[in-house]
Amino acid sequence: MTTATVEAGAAGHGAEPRGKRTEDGQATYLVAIAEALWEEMERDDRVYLLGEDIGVYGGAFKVTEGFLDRFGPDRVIDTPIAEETIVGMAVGSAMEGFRPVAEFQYADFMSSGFDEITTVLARYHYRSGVPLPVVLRGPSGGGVRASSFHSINPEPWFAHAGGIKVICPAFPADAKGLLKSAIRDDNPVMFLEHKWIYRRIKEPVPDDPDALEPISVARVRREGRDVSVITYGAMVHKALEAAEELERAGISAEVVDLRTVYPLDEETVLRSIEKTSRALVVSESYRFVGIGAEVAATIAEKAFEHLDAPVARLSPPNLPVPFSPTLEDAFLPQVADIRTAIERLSAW
Amino acid sequence: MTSVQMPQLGETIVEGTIIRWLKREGDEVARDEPLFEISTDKVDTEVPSPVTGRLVRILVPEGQTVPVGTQLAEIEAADAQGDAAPAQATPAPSQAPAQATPAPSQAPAQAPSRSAPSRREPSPATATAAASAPRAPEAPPARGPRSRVLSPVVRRLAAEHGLDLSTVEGTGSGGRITRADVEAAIEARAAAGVPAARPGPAPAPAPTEGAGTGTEVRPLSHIRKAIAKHMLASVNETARAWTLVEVNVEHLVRLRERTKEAFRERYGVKLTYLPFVVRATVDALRAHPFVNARLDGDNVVLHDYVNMGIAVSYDAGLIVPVIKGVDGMNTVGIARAIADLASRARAHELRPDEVQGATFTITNPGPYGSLVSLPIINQPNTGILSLDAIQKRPVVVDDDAIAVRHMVYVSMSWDHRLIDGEIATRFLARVKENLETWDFAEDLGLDR
Repeated sequence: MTTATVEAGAAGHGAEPRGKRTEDGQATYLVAIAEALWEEMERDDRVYLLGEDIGVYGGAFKVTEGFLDRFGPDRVIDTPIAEETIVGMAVGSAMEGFRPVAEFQYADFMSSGFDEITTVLARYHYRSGVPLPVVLRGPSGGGVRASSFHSINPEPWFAHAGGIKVICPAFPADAKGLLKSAIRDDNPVMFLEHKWIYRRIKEPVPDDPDALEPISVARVRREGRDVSVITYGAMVHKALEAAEELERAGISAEVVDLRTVYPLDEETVLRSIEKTSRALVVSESYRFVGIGAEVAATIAEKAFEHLDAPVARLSPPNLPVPFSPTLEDAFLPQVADIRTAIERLSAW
Repeated sequence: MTSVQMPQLGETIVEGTIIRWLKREGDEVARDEPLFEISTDKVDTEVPSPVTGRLVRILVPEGQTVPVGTQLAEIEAADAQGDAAPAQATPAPSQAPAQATPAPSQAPAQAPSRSAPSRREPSPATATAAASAPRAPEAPPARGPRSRVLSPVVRRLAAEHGLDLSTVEGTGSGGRITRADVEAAIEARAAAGVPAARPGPAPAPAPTEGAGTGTEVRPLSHIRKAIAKHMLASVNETARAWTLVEVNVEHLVRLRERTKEAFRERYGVKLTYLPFVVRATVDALRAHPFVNARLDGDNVVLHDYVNMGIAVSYDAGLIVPVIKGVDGMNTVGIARAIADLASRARAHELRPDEVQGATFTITNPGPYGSLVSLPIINQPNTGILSLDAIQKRPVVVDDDAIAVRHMVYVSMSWDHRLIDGEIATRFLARVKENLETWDFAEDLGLDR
């Protein structure tokens, strides 16, 4: 009998996720995501994973390493390299009462399943009355020198589809709590994990398996008086850094982390504008018809009488993410860009 | 050091209000470069700097009204050896100060000032603050170029708290008033215990179904207040009587229809009925000099010229530009003068002396559809003639037949203190006769 002596994993079984917390209990974003998956699979037998190389290999970013040993091949399914099929399988099994969580190696490849996602997944509940509790997760975003096929921020495409909730967490605890909420939600949810954050950001995360974070609720990450920076994903970290630097210069910037980009938490955004009267909207997704455009329009429409300056946006142009590090840095909003934009806005 | 004084903008103007300083203390200013804007009873205008140099000190802050001749600022001339004003040569304080004169036409800078609510008298709070805490030189009272850029939140807060924004100094870019500035001003006022200048509307009684409940309280513009005062004074002081005649303008209508295209082509201005009426009226005024006169205490002042005031409505209210020496003009000259003055009035480009000195006034509500009007006399004139709408009416013509003719009511309010009904009526009859019998065609100088 060896099971008695094996060190307990996340739920007392022999297998455990590869990624572990640090000794003081902090988890990276990636570990937090793995914990959420693990706990939800422990909690609910209907939850299963499917995706390319998620089983034996443990996933392109090793999020699901150890899952096959614990949950077996019926609940951790390696699929062919065919994203449309992955979505189709998830949709079909959800119709039958399962709660699939599909992984994409990169969020860029979600567009291979575009029709299945936008035409079927997003609309099926409306057409048939049958809810589809499907989670599609994948690493999105740039800043890691991965060029134009592995750096996309696809959230505007899928937020635009309607019928799919789109979550873009920036912190490990949020990632864990929101992924768990997504899995328990009866609606289709796209869960975009910013790959720049995966192993860079760590923090204490809740141990309670029922600790959830609400979807569609933004969070003020930093209180400020002068300018509101509304953003999400990796840009939250850049904005916080810029705000920190500006504090020393006497400019007080508030940072609002949207966390969910669709449906948008307008109330938190508008409350912040009422306080500061100045808005800078930062997104890593494209500027034109982007999440930032939507947030800016909402502010202009619903907080007009509170504005003391025009709503400003900072987002990359609608162009491929460059491969050259120099160009990628110029393409993506940087801390200095955000700082300058805040300064300009506060001096308007 | 050159002293800048409140200029005399017209012989009857005794005081002026500084609307805003276009330069701050310490700024370099070129000779003839606009230095400040002032408002008199009728006109706002920019005043250029008398010399080139540095604006050392502003002595009268924005919003304050001071008598003509009051020292407003000091300019240190750039080049004391220069050929500029003699005032620069000797810096003796007794030196006659350079007299600022109004810029002839500064429309772009002037126009925005009309719409901005910044020409009101300073509120008691500000006046007190200004008196008790004179501004330090490093905090000049001048407004930046963006002081009129009011963001939505600034407008809303000012409205909610009844704050006069002309009393708030902007610390934003280009002197823009920011939300923080407004909040500081509201706090300062609260600390001083001064109530809001304009409290919100009292609760409305229960509205009847479908009735609106909104009430908005706005301060009167400078111009509006001046008009109100002027009109009320006229009603109170004159013994106003009123006489009406009906004029057959059939041949005038036909002439205008026949010639208006050619007139416009030849002279570049539209031919309206007003120039004909002005021309006919001028002749009647020459024939009845007391209608062209004014009372001055126990004297009557007669004029051997006619300066015709023409009432022009524009966005800020009503203004009466004056065609000086109209008795020397033919119909073409009058038409041109009217077009010029009216367009410049609407563009806020009139000089103060162009709205003064009328000996008689004509108002022309006809285009708006008025059939008969009873105007208030534009003092110190004795009469004001009203040209109302031209209409086709059935009239009895010479051979006792009824015919359709273009008719118009021409009336005059007149001051019974100076003239009586006989003069007034004979004057109007003369206007009528001129309009009905004169052949204006020759006067238009067009080939027939």
